[in-house]
Amino acid sequence: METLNFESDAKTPGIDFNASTGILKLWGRSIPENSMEFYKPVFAWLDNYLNSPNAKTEMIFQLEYFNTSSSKCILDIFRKIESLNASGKSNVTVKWLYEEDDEDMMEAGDDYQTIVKLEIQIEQV
Amino acid sequence: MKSDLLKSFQEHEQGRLIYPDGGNQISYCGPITQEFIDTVVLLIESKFKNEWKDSKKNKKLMAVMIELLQNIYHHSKKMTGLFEDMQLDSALCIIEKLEDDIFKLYTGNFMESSKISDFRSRITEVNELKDDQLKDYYRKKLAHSELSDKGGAGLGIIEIARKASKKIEFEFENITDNFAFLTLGVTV
Repeated sequence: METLNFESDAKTPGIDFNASTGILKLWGRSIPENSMEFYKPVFAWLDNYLNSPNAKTEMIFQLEYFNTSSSKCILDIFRKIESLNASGKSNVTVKWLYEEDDEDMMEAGDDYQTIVKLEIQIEQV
Repeated sequence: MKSDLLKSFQEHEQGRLIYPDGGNQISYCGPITQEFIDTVVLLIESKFKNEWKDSKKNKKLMAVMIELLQNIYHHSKKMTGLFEDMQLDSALCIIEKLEDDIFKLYTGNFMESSKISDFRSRITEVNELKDDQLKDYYRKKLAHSELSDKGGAGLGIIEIARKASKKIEFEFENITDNFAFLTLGVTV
């Protein structure tokens, strides 16, 4: 399965999803006007990955800030990882990293923690 | 609320971003396009880097501003044409540094009168909530929301209220029976 690679820029996050290592990383900002459009290939890649995942999956978020339409797409990524975890096909860990003093991003990690059935490691970097 | 944003709207040069060196204010009046939002993101970043110093509020200000502008971007497409020399798809946007670590954002834009009561009740609702209640409300909405074709998930105003340090200020000024000028003021 091919890796999914997007460079980060002023409005969209960097993405490095690698099926052969099981490390899926998303970082930067997510403020596109049309988030659904941006995240479509991300969801498609994840759907494929869920069919034949690595024995270990490490999902890492390290976001600066995101708009509310992205917040729903990020939740959808969590939902997919949640179902991967529930399937038992992969040993899943999820990290939500935030920069020093960034209470908003720390709280955003807490928001997702209350919604999904996954243990999210919320850590300052 | 800043006195009479409609007047500022009418007097502001259209389509021009005004940001004097060393100044504490950035203002713009004109159509809110994707290109404008991109430009203002870069401009604020450089203001913070060069003049306003890095602040804990930097990202908060950016997040609130983007939410406000993208909201206007999605809604103003419906407001087209001219009324007494006013371009109805234009909006006024002012970003002001009040003191170290305190910033104020204002937006002014036209809105269909039929949307006002719904909008007013949504802002009033979030303004009445305390911090913890806002957090719970946001989480509940996020967990059950669907993205609309406009991209928003109805979360924008809750998110703005969460990041704001004061209640959201708002005013409607009726222009005709069909539309009004909406002013929002957010302190972060």
